[in-house]
Amino acid sequence: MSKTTIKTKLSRRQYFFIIVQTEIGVGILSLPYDLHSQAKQDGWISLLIGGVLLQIVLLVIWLIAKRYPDKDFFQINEAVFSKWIGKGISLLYIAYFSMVSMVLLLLFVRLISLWVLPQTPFWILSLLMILVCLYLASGGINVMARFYTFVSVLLIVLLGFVVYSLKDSQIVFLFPILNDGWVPVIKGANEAVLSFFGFIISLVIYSKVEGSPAQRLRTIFYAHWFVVLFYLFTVITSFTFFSTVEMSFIQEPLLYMLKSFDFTIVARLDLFFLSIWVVNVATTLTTYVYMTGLGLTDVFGTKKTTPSYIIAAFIILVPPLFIGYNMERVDQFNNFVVWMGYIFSVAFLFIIYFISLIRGSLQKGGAS
Amino acid sequence: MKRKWLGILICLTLLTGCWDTRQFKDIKLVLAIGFDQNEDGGVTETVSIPTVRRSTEGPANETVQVLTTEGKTPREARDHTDQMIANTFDPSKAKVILMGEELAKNSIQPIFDQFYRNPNNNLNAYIAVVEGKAEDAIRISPPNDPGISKYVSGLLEGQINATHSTGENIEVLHGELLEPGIDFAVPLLKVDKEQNLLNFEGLALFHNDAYSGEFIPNHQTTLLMLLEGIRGKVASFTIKVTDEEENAIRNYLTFRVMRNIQDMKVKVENNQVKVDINVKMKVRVVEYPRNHLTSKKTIIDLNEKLSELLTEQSEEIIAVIQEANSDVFQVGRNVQSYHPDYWKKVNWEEEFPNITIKPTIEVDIVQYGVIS
Repeated sequence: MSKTTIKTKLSRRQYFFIIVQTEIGVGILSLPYDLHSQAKQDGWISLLIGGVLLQIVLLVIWLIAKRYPDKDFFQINEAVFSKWIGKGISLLYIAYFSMVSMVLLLLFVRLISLWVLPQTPFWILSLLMILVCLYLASGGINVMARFYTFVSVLLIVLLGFVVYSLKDSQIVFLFPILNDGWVPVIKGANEAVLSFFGFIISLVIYSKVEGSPAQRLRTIFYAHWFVVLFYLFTVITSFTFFSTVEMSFIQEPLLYMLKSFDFTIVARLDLFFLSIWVVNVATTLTTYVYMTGLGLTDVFGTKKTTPSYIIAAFIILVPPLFIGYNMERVDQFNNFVVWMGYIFSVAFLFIIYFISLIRGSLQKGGAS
Repeated sequence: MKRKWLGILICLTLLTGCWDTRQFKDIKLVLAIGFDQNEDGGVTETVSIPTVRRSTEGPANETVQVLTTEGKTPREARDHTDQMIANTFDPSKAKVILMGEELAKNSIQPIFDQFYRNPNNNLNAYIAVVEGKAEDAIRISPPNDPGISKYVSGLLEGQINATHSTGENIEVLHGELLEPGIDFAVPLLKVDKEQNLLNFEGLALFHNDAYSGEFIPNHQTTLLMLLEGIRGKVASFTIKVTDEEENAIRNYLTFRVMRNIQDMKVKVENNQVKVDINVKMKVRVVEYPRNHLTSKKTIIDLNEKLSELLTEQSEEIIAVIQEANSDVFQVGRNVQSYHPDYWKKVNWEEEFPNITIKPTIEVDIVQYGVIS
């Protein structure tokens, strides 16, 4: 990695694709099912509600980042909370990012094992995945950004598959709307928010992106709504393809939908879909490996970055090996990380913002 | 140099993919499966396994082996089959699934669970009910086709193209099995032992997941499909339009449907469900030996006559459907979607036979071939 690549700032287009690729990941396959399990056929409303609510969080992210234009997230922590407390908080975040990565890895391998490779042992699949991510992440954010932009073409292919399934959809399955009232829909919004948790990357790398704050805010919003619409489309397609009762049985609706089509050359479209989806999982996981590694570099103040990524990859790889295919433990761990997600990706951001506000006004008061 | 060797080593160890290979030589692909009910409540499974023997000279010859096993569940029956054949049984390319009449009348959902649960299975397989036993159907050896699976899937595809059936496959069936307010119809086949063939009898009407015993005979299935708004490649009718002629052939008119627009309206009035099904067809006359089709009046008269006759037939079909309590028009799902309050109040199972379904068919002759 030459020095020029470090200094080049990311373009806003790259920023857009990093956010999009980070948010779209493992969850896309089961998102319709998760929404449906809470809100039945109104799940798509939950998704929209989740999307709108997150808009507020994104605004807070921007407000925080705007105050520290040349610091990445972990440096902001130190600036806001003073050096040692800040480092402690950064460590918590590193723990959180690595736990999210573990969940991603567990869910990914579970799905691959279920659908394609039932005999392959857990460790080989997870090792392969983490190696790819480590390689990509140690290339630095610029390399990642280029790669993410490049593979975003694949999103169009994914979309194409889903569009094809529309031919068998029946709009009648979306009705009746709001028959059970708003309560299940609000509960469903919880599931919806989960699927967006990658948005924290927009805070972590904000300072590395060129453009005025307003321009960058716009990019964040564009990326967010792109993902919302992408999800919305897949959710509505699944909901109209499968009948309401059927949906409650099918955990990966998108795959199941594609499985039923048969072409002369391609007998199983779902396998094609899966192999493209693997790239999306890899990009998501890479981002988390990157964030974990970046955090380690910042906290320990090391000069070389690659060792941090290797340590990060190691931390992420080992615990899942002990959980393996055990569904119950995966689910427990997943639920735990979801709660962590609410704390670290939502609640704590507000705290950071308010403390930085208070400190800012104190300093102003002291100066006058 | 060191790096290069390291790269090669990594590639060699990681990219071989030795685990999940499924080699063709290790498995026996089963292409047609038949299920029957046992007397003790279990399942009899009949499978047809084709094997291709390659010889060094001449064309490969295909032999078909048919096996019948019993088990408490379809999966156990399969394990029993596995114990009788040299390789592993693999139904992932099954093309045709046949069900015996008795099994169909009982419940078919348990049979299909295994197909939904395992991702390898082919959800495109056609399904059909066989009058009598499915085993007999699998055991026939059709003279012209290489195997029963090709023969039956060809037969069923022909029915889809000729607008005789919906092309029900396992995947479509899944939703229809589970969803209240949606029922379905499956092709009904009959074994013709003398000619060693199968015969498409009509569409077996299902209620929930069981065959009601009623079916729409094959001369009315096209009309049923058009009432559902489905048209295959060809949809043709031969209808007796008059009794006046001495020569019996002259009494009939044959036409093909070129375009059809189906429109179903579901209304709830005074706690009564009223359904209007309107079908408008633009048709081409392909055979009408009786008369010239030059004057506008003749054509208008014929339009009226055909519309009236087809509407009458539709009423007959709907009467059978309501008697079988088989909601193939998905009226129930419509009521649930657009009149949820009413849906909650009634028991649709009991309500469906009593609702009013009014079909209206409009035929419009737009072409009559190259002679007038």
